[in-house]
Amino acid sequence: MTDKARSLFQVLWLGLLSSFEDYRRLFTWKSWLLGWLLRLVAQVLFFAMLGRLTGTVADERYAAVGNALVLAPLGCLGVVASTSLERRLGTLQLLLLSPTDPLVVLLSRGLYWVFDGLLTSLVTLGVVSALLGLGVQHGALPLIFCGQVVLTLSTYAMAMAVSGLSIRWPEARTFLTSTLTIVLLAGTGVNTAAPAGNPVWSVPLHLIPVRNGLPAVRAAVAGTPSTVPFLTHLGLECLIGLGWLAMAHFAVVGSVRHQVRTGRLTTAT
Amino acid sequence: MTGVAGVAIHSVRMQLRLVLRRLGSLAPLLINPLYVVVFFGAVAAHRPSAELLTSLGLTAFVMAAWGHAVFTASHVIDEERFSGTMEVNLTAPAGYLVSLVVRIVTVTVLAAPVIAEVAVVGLLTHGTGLVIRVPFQFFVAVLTCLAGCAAGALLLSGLLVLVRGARTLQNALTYPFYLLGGLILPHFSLPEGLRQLSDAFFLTWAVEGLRAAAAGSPGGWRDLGLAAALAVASGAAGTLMLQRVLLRLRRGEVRFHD
Repeated sequence: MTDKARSLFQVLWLGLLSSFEDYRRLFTWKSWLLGWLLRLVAQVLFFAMLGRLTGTVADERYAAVGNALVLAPLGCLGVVASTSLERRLGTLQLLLLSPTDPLVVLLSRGLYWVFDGLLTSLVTLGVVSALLGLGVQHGALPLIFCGQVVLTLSTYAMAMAVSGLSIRWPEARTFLTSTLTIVLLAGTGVNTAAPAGNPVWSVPLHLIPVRNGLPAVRAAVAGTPSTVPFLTHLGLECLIGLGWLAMAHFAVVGSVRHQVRTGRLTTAT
Repeated sequence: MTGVAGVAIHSVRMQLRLVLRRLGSLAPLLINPLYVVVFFGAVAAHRPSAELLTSLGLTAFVMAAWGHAVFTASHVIDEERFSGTMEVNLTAPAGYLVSLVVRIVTVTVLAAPVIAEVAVVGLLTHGTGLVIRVPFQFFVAVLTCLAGCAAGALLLSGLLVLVRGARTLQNALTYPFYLLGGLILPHFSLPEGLRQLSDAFFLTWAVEGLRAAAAGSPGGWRDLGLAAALAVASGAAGTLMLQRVLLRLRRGEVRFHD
């Protein structure tokens, strides 16, 4: 391993450790269970009931699985707010003293959102499976986990790109996360099959994380993944994620440089 | 102008100025009506009736109004602590309680235009807005719903000061309460135990009242009466709690900052 790669991993590791310290202070195990997890299980049941409203078991199951799986990508959007909070709390200036690329530093600081998203989505899938009788098999868990890691990291890359905007315009953070939440819920095939009719809508949606990879993880949940489609869907998802990562570099570095150049790094509200 | 009315008017003005300075706090009100797109999209393939679509549109409205009360209106007192203005305001001889109550209600009421947003978004995306059969009753139902949300925000604002870590439990006040209030499936379809709990929640009756007014079905006024009674009771409890919280803050029994 080269010195550069070693120092990169060291920064990621230290960022991860400090982000876990933040996470530990965000929740106690009681507030995590009774506040956070309870809300997420209720959220999945809420949308599953929406499926039941139309009267078909298939719709209920489709919505329940989709909403449980999308919890991890949705959780990643938290980094948009937490990154702009670094600016408000005055820690962003200290982090930028690091000689490492600002994207690597900020990306590592928010990694707890990825771990929390993965954990809560898998636990919620288990709970909802038991409550609604979805029949998710234990044997399917490794593939579900792999698929979820890809969906989550790809969405995390998009969230980092949007964080670039929230560093520059902190007041826009809630607008940004709320809008992305709706886009993920309505346009990626979470509640019903993704919009496919009008190419004006359906083609750009393929550039959104989750849209390409979700069918693969659904197949893993159903216990019927075929190797080629599974790898193709997740491969496309990886490509989209890498594209967003490049975009994130451009957005975060550009935003930070602009704030430093104009002397506005410390004037966030 | 002096007295309670003067304090109230000044508080409304000040709160509106604060909101205009922090437009980001209104983001959920602008974006959450878009849940209509998710809801309508989820049932679109099954040729839903206009009544069902209206009911789902009302669900989006109630979610936005309640979410706004829980996450924005209830933070009025917390924002005072954060900005360091509470210490100064507590030294005022009177009127601070009235001011806080009026400010919390003011923020909550800003959710009213969401009902129009929901109708417009539904119309633009799926060609169906809200179908309202009894407009006056519906107007009263919207006001009752907002009054209940404001009462909930009052209760919560006191708790946020008194209970450390209450912010992390706020998450549990959204979707669990939407299920409890029968926002998707009617509350009477809830399991025993949860249904009794749901009966004591104003949102259950406010949602029933909204749907009944929209559909022109009987029983709407009774539901609205129940919702209003529960909202008044919660509002009174919230105001008393806030009074108690301010007293404890003045005595130094509660910390200003975590």
